[in-house]
This record gives sequence, structure tokens and C-alpha cells, in this order.
Amino acid sequence: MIELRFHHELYDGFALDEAAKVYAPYADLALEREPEGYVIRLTASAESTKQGIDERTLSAELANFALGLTIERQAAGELGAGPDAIEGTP
Amino acid sequence: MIDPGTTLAPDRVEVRLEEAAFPRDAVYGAAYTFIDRCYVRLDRAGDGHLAIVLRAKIPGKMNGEALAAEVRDEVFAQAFRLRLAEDGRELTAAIVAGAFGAGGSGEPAEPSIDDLLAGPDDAFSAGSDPLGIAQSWEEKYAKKAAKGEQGP
Amino acid sequence: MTAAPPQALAGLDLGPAAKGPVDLVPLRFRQIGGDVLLTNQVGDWVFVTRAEMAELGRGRLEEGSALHARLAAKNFIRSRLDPADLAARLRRKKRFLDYGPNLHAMVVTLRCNETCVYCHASRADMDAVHTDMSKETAERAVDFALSTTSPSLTIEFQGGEPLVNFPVVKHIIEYGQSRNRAYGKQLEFTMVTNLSLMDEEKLAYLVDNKVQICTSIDGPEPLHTKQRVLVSGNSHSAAVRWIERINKAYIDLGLDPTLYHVEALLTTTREALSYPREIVDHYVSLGCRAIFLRPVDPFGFAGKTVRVVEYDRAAYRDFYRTAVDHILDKNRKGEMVLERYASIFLTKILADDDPNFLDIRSPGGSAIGQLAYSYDGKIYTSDEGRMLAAAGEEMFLLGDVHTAKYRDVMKHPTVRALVLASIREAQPDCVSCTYAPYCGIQPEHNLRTMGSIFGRMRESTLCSVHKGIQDYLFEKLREDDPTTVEILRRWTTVRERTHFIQASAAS
Repeated sequence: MIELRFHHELYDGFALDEAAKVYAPYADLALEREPEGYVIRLTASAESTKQGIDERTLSAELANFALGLTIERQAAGELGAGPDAIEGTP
Repeated sequence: MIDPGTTLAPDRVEVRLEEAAFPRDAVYGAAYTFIDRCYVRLDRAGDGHLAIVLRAKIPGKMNGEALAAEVRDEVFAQAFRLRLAEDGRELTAAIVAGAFGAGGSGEPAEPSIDDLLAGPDDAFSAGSDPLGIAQSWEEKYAKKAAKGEQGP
Repeated sequence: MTAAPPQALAGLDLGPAAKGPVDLVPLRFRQIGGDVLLTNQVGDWVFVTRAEMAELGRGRLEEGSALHARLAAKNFIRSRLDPADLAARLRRKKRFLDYGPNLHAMVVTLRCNETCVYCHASRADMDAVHTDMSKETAERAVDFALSTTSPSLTIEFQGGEPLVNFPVVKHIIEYGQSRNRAYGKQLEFTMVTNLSLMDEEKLAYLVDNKVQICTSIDGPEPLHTKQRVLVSGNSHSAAVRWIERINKAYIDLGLDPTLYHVEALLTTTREALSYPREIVDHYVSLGCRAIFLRPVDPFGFAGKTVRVVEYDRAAYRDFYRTAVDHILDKNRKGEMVLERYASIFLTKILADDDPNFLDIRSPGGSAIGQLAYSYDGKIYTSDEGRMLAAAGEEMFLLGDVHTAKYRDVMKHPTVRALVLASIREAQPDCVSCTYAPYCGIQPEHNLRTMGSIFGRMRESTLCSVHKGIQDYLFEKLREDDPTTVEILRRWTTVRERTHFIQASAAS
């Protein structure tokens, strides 16, 4: 299991949700909100492991996807002053 | 010379930046340019600092020092471009408005596409479709011909 | 030699407080060779030295200096600009927004007698007659095309192999000519064909009815026949024979052969990458005046044979540079031949215009610049959209010629989504790219390769191709060799082929 931490001021919650959906077929994922940010706990599925997909690579790809989507949403003006503004959190 | 704000490790580069010195969009814009080559993470790095962390997609294929320099260059370049864009915001708006808005064509202000699509379909009848973009050819030019106007 | 793409601004220390001089316009920049290329919002460009760029980055620009004069002359100084003039230039370059779809691709059959390794037409075997367009569907398709808002229309026959369903091709031509008498549009017909089913009777009809012919030539015979298999014969010999015959027919009509000839297109596969000069020489030997060095695309069958035909786009960039260097050499020796990609970009860079190439404009040409009509009457955003639909992606289906109205098709949510997805300024990467004023996005390509119509340009093979071509062109412009620049300027000259415009009663 790999634990990924994303600061709420730098990553968009919606983007993380979407990333989790995209990578759900390849891993068991648990997404949680903690005081300082989001946590995704990832365990590669048995099928992924059988196909030789490395858990560390999977988590890095998910994080890249989430960052890319965060930036795209920021560029599209779908976020306010920061990634969390749309959710009304400090 | 390695910048003191840079940490190098095998297949990993961390560049620390003073948050107040750069617009957030500059940091995002710079990070975005690396996501095809590296695994990129953004994080807080102490008071008033952010960190851009890059990890090699292929182990052993990363020149950390060169990459760190590239990251810094890209952040500075993005910040420079964004500052110019902000300073020139009114000019940009004037050019775009002149090209596509009412001021440019000399004709009355036209409703936005959103307004048109939100309206009833009657809004698209030949008599009231100011943009004429959704009329058939016959509707548009046959009526104009009847009024003695030239088609294209 | 591997041409690594130049870094955005490698080693140029603008400093953390980089801030432009007060009077400098918003701009984008990129290192080209030892200098820095600047572009502004409407496509003006200028080279500055790295030292000059560093001064600009420190906010220093002395009025009256040579740099100030150079920047002012190219519309980079705000106080010297006429915003109305820039607005007018921008409007003119975007005039295609006024018109609507002008290219209407009619897939008259999926049947094809050749099997091409990279085929993206979703072809069917020759006994699949159910994939022929009927005359009734063809009439509805022509009616729909004529009802669209563009004053000029090109109906392009595609397939499969359109000559397989020649009766319907004829019907479309005759029905279209007849119906257009009431519309008065500027109507043209083109055909994309492998030429293997051509005969004198068909040729006479197509020449008499002013149909422009376009075919594929993948290079010298061994390369071409390996990639384009004609069971009944030699695909290369058949194509070459009819290219020469058609070109002679144009000469017999008294038409200028430098302007009127068969257009041939290349699909650059992995195998072709080894033969840039040979391919150029072969095209020139066939009398071709334009070569379009298209990389292989990811649609249709090509997706299934990716391991055979696909390649790293760095390899394509090397191929392109070698081929175009060779074309330039030929021009210096008096051979008038151009490269089409270069011509498209150079028209924007040097001639301050937009040639309306649908895949390289913003917003892109999907639906609002072109429509594709399948053999069964279904209407798609483009031929690429049709091929994606054949592979199961139905979002590009806009309607059916038997039931749809133009208004409803243009209001389809897919059309709006594709327009939004193809606006450069909305892309996080494109918005800061130096080539934004000249470039374009193809949402169908994004979906096929990256899983979304918006895509991610850093990972886009098409972006890589476009950047590579523009890097090459700007390197040439930076070198500023007078002969080379003169040749490149000639490539921006558009000579209208008015012979192919159909006469109409309204004209």
C-alpha cells in the first residue's frame, strides 16, 4: 500500500476524485480528507500486479494525472483563488 | 553551482521557491511543462515556500542538476510572461473586443451564443436571428433577395 | 542526428523578479538557436539576442535604442500600437468563423480494393455492397451540404475507394450542379482515390466535370507497394500511370501544368522515415509541385497496427528536416516544389493570413469547418470523427441527412465541446506557447491518443510535430539567408485554381 498526500492549497479535490476514478480499474483506492490535505491510499489490484504494473508507478501516474487536471481546471477558471476555493474551505 | 533551494537525490529533484515571489499560475505553468517527462509533485516546504518535486519516469535517466536549472528557468519564464499578460490585459481586451465585439464591427452589440441557445427556438427564425448562423441558406439569402439585397 | 526540441529558455536567467519593461506588449518566447524568438497575440514575431532578452527581463528598454526601434516596428511596444489595426488583422484571420462548414466529405462507399497498412478509412471488402451510399441518401447529403451557411462548398468524395461506387459519384455531381443553380454557392468537387479503378471513360467524366483528383503516393515503388497492397496488380504502377494520364489531360485542355495536376499525399510510416530524399525525388519525378509530409495518424486500422507503422515523433522531426532541406535544395536549383505543412505555417508567419487548414486553426475545423457524411447518411464532425465512431466512439455523430436540420446539427453539444476543446488560449500549455498564434488543436486526435478531447499538449504527438515544424521554419528565418527566405515566401503564395469552380446560374 502506498499513501499519497496532496496539500489542499495546491491540489483540487475534484481533480483528485477524477484521478481516483480513472485509476480505479487498476488499484484499490481510499480517498480521505485530513486537516492539511487529501490522502489517497493505493494498493495495486491483483490483476495489475499480474500484468507487471508496479504500484509505485501507478501512484506516480495518478499523482501526475491529478496535478495535470488541477492545473487545467485552474487555467479554465474553474477554481477560485486556489484549488480549494470552489469547495469553500480555508 | 547548485542553488541552495535545490535538493538532489538519485532520480529526484526538489526545487524550493519563495511563494510570494511567483504567481501561483507560474508555478503551475512550469510544473505542467514537465509532466510528460517526469513525475511531478507540488508541496509546501516550510513557511512561505513551495516545492516542485520531480522524479524520473525511467530510473537512471535523469540529470538532476540540469533538470533543476530547467525548472527554475521555466518558473521565471512563466512569471515573466504572466506579468506581461497582466500588464497588457486592457490592450488584449481592446484587441479582442475590436475583432469580435460590437466596437469592432460598428454594428449593434450582438447577443452571446449562450443567450441565443438559452432562448426559445423562435429566436432563430429568419426574422430575429441577428447572427444568422443557424439559418439555412435558402432562408438567409432568399429573403435577402426578396428585399433587393445582394447575396454573397 | 537527433534534433532535440529547444528548451523554452534554457539557461537564460531572467531572475526571480523578472518583469518586463512598462511598454512591452504581452508576448511569448522561445529559444531558437542562440537567439530568442518573441511572438505577440496577433502573430508578429521578432528575434532578440539572449543579452537583449535578459535586459527586457530586468525591465530595461531604452526608448530610442536600436532594440526599441526593432520591437516597435514589429508591434511589441504598446505606446506605438494601433489596437484597431491589430483588431482588424485578427478579425481578418478569423473570418472563417463567419462561414460555417465549407468542406463536406462524402463517404460514398467503404469498399476498397487496396489494403493499406495504415488505413484509417474503416474499409470493407469488395463484396460489402451494403456499404455503398444510395442515390437517395446522396441527394439528402447534397441538400444538407447546400443548406449550410458557407458561401463556398467543397464536396470531397472519399471511401473506401470512391471509384467503386462511381454511379453515385456521378449522381452527386449532377444533382449538386443542378441544385446549386438556385443557391449560387461557389461549388467544387474533389476526389481522394487510389486510381487503380480509373479508366478512360471515368477520367473523361471527371475531367469534363472539373473534379480535382487527389491520390496517395508513399514514395518509390518498393515502399509504396509494400504499404499499399493491390491484390489485382501493382498499386504504384496503377497510380503513376493515371497521374501521368490525368496531368496530360489537363495540358490538353490548355491548363497550366504548374497549377493543374493531380495532388499526391504521403503518409509517413516508420518504413518511410529512412527515405526522406528518395520520397521527395520520387514526387518531383511525377510532376508534383507540392509534397505533404503527413505523419501517420492514430485513427482506424492504424491504431491496430501501431507497432508496425508508429514511431517516436523525434524520428519524424529528423525525417522532416532532411526532406525539407532537400526540397529547398531543389528550389535553389530551379525546381518549384513546396512542402504543404511548411506552406500552411508560413502563410500565417510571413503572409499574416490564415489559409483555413482545418486541423491547424483555432478554433479547429471539426463541425464548424467541415462535416463528414457516411454511406448510410449519418453526419459526423469530420472524417476522423466518423472513423472514431466506427471504432465505437459515438459522440462525434451529429445527425442523419434524412432527418437533421442544419440548425440542430450546429447546436449539438458535441459541436460546442469540440469548439471549446480546440481553442488554443484555453489550453494550459498552448496559452504560453510561442507558436500559439499559428497553431491548432485536433480534438479527435486528442481523444484517440489521450482519452479526452482536450488532451494534454505535452503528451500530444501532434503538438510535437507542429512544434518541430515551426522550430525548423523559424531556424531558417533566423538564419535569414536571402535565397532561402525568398523560397519560403514563395510558398505562401496562393494561386486560385479557378478552373475547378463549378459554374452556377447565380454566378
